[in-house]
Amino acid sequence: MVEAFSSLYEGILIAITPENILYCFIGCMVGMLVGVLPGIGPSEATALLIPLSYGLDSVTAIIMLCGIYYGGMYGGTITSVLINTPGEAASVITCLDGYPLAMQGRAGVALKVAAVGSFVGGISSTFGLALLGPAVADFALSFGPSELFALLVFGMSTVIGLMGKSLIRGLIAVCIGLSLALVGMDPISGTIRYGFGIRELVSGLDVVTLSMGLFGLSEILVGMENLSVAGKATAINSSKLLPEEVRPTVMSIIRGSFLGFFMGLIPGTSSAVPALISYSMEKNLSKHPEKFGTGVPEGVAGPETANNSYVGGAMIPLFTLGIPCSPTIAILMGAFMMHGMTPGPTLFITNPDVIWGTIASMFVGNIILLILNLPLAGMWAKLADVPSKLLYPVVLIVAMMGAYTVDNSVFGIVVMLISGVIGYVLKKLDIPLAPTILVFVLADMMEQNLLQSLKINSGIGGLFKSTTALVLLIASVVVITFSLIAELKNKKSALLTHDE
Amino acid sequence: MTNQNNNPIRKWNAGAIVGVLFTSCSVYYFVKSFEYPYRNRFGVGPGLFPRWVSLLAIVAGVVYTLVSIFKDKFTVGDTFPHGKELLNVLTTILAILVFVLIVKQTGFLVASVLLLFVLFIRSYPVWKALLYAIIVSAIVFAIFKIGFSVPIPVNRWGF
Repeated sequence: MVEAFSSLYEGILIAITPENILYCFIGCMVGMLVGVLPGIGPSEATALLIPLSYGLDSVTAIIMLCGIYYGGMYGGTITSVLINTPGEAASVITCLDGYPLAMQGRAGVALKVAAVGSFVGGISSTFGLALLGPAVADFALSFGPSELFALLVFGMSTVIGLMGKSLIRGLIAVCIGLSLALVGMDPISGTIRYGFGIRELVSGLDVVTLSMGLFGLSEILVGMENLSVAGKATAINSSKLLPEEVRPTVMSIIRGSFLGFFMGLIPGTSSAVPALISYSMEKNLSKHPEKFGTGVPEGVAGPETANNSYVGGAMIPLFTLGIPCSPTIAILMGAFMMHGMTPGPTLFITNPDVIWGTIASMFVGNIILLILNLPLAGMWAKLADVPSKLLYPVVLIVAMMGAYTVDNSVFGIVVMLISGVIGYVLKKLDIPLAPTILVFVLADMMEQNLLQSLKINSGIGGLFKSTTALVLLIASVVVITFSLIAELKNKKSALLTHDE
Repeated sequence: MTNQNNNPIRKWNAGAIVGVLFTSCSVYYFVKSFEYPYRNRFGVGPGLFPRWVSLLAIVAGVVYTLVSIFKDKFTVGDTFPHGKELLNVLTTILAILVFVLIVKQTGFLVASVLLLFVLFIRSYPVWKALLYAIIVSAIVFAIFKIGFSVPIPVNRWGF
């Protein structure tokens, strides 16, 4: 623990350099900006804005991108409360009590508890990340190919099981991700597969370009369908909690912090899941559950805390195992690789400055966001008035430039266009996009570990010799079985989640 | 509107069509996987993973097609936009394609102004659409080219 705090101190020294504070601020501002704009959530924002980090030092780039991520989470709340339009999926729950509070002239209360809850959730999960991260990384270093393969299978099964309305649609999304990942050089022998004679496909498809298409362009195409959408913000009046509201609100923030952090550790969830579970939990624990939906502060505080606390928890599998738990984290993983780093247990040893600088920057970022949120909420809400007919073309040209700069070729734009059209069709058919990108990122590692395990153990039997691998494989079967049973019983709606 | 409702394409099963397309691609992937050795001198070869992945994809594709036919029906008309909405989406896709084709010759600024003008003209008067297209393109150009030193495509005059 002492070592963790000592490393965290080193990280704080990196995070508080003027340059890193500036880019953390820029990341938070941009994240807030896109979080406020309806339709563009943290995944889309992070994917679309990765190119802005090209010219930056790797620590600074990751700090800025993380700022965009949690800034987007904060920003989505404001429009949920003021115009009943969630900026991202996790804020859908915030509308339930946030907007009624605004309609009662208490928008200030909703925004204040959401900002404080988000701050507490963000800070507490960052502490959790700093304390648990190195321990998990040490444990992960003992994993061999069989254990890693089993872990990836477990991650994939939770992705299939928890995302989307049906198991078969989740499986289709996973198969698309796996198939796309097969393009390019294979990880062991270097054989070029499914290259179709195209030079640019030799090194495989780029995760950033693919994410820009699947998440960013598909959302733009949906938005371009109807260009006349624009909201109108409600005025902010009272911002004081009533005395009887203080205790339940504080308790909901504490519960949300723990819930969000631990949900972040589970692959396949998105920040919408802890928000949803927190709301349901607060309603069940409340002395007046009938008032939920009519404007109660704990209905806003709990879910907002949980979805921001989720961010720190979700960073642990990325930093320690190299496994992204959510689409946004998968996109961040792409950014790590683009800057020459491979997320995984060795990252704490090879790039401690990046890891601890990023963790420490989350404290700085959360403080910046609290300052940006409390006094300036009304100003942010005005941004939601930007008409779609102006917004979407502007975002489109930025995204296209981003896709071009991935390898300085129009091929990137072509890949983005094709994946954007595929993403648009999948969205229309209610096939979740998140599993596609998560599995795409994991597929290479999965194949590599499978082949190594088969070689070391001279066959598939070796996978079952390791207790850890066996437990993880059994857990995968259990997850899929439960998901199937839940689907058959039509009880899956509680876990239902949108793409982040 | 009557014409749109009578259009037989709108009654087609979109889920089944996508399911069949997906299964066909998976079958192609499966056949193609035989070009890569299943075993080689290192032990297991580069054909193993694609073979099993494509087989899983074929099974998933067939099940999805059947589910789309018998359970969750998505008709083209109910799933995808039509009329002006469809035109907006197609215009966007076409404008991106044109951008891709001309950007190397014209440079970013000209291609971007053209792309944005085509998109803005659907909602703004001509002069406003052109003005917005020029302003937005110039800002994006300045951010990427000057601010972030990104080597974006330019013409012989440097834009």
